[in-house]
Amino acid sequence: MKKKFFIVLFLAFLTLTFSCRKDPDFSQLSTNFTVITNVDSAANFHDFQTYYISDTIAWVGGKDDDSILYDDNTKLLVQTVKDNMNARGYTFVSKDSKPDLGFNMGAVKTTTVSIIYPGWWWGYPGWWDPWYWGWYYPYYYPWSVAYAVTTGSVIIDMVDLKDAQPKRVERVVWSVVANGALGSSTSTNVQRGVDAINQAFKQTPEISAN
Amino acid sequence: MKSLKIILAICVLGVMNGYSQSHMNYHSMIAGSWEIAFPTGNHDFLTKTSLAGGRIEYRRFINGQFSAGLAFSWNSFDEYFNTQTYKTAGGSVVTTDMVRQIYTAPITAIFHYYPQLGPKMIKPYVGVGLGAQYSEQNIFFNIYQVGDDNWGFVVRPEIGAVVMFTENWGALVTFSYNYSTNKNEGFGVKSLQQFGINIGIAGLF
Repeated sequence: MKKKFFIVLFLAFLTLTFSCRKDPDFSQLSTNFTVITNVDSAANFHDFQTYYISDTIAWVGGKDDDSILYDDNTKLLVQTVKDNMNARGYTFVSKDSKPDLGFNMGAVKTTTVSIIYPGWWWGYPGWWDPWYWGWYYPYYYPWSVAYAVTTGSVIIDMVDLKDAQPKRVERVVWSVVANGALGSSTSTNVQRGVDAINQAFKQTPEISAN
Repeated sequence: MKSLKIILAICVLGVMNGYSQSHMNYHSMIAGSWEIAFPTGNHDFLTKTSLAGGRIEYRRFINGQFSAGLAFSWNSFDEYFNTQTYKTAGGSVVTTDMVRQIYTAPITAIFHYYPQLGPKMIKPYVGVGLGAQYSEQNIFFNIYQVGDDNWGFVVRPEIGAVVMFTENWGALVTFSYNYSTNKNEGFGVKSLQQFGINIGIAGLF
């Protein structure tokens, strides 16, 4: 009876081994930013003809790291917005020329640090088990492991300046939030921002001066 | 040659008779099986077949034709979707690729009927499972995850057979259909349904 019990237990363990909860294959996921846009359904973008966007970007990088960016990467991101607006029939004018639309643009960088205490197999089947060395108990790790994930966001607000009234709230007619993980290459991260801006305009066909 | 055939026929009949006699002495059955699940139902959250599933069950024979018991099973479904643009209920427009996942873990009381059909070494059955199901529905995109977990009521009609290859051990095959009330309104899932095939080993004692 005892033998049969262990046989059954072994078969159950085999079943569990072959069919335990499986994590999805995340390697297929793209590193491109996820792009989210919202548009004011009451806005008529044909009523607007001119726009202004600053050549600087607000930077939120964490504690004591907030600033204004105006380097070549910033210019590239700003130019991407201009290229899309120009292609849709809008005309860039100076801030003093009372543009119909104004842009607020910013970038956020967030680093999340987590600490884990690993198990003896780190979740990977096939790792050397402690019984290989003749021990009877799982490994003891006298340390913890810290890892960091850095994410970035590009945020754009399009503000209706044409209908703005003094001492009244300005209406945001279009907003963009593009989020994703940041890599170690600045040029790659900037390109992801450029691609996100292009995608934001692509998924908002309402923005057109004609 | 003729005598050999007679000897073989006697052996087969003897084995069958042996299974018949031993079946009357069985008081319980325990089985473990691999479960393949095909999602069905009225949602398009994901449609990919799951090969990552299993089931453990215990049946107590009440008499020669009925049993009652418990079963625990699980399935992991996941499917990758290329970059697409979605419009949410709130009016936002989102462009991303994603992996969608559903995990189900029903716990059921099971009841089976064993008609006396065919050779005794083959024990067909029909039955039903009733109980609760835990489920998670998740969407993974970039490095983000959005999801929910919930409980629901589950009913699982099934039909199958145990083919004995020794006095106490046999191969088990079951065809089933799971219907549960688990839902996720954000993902457009009103209920969870799947068609399942179990292949495993059963021990009768």
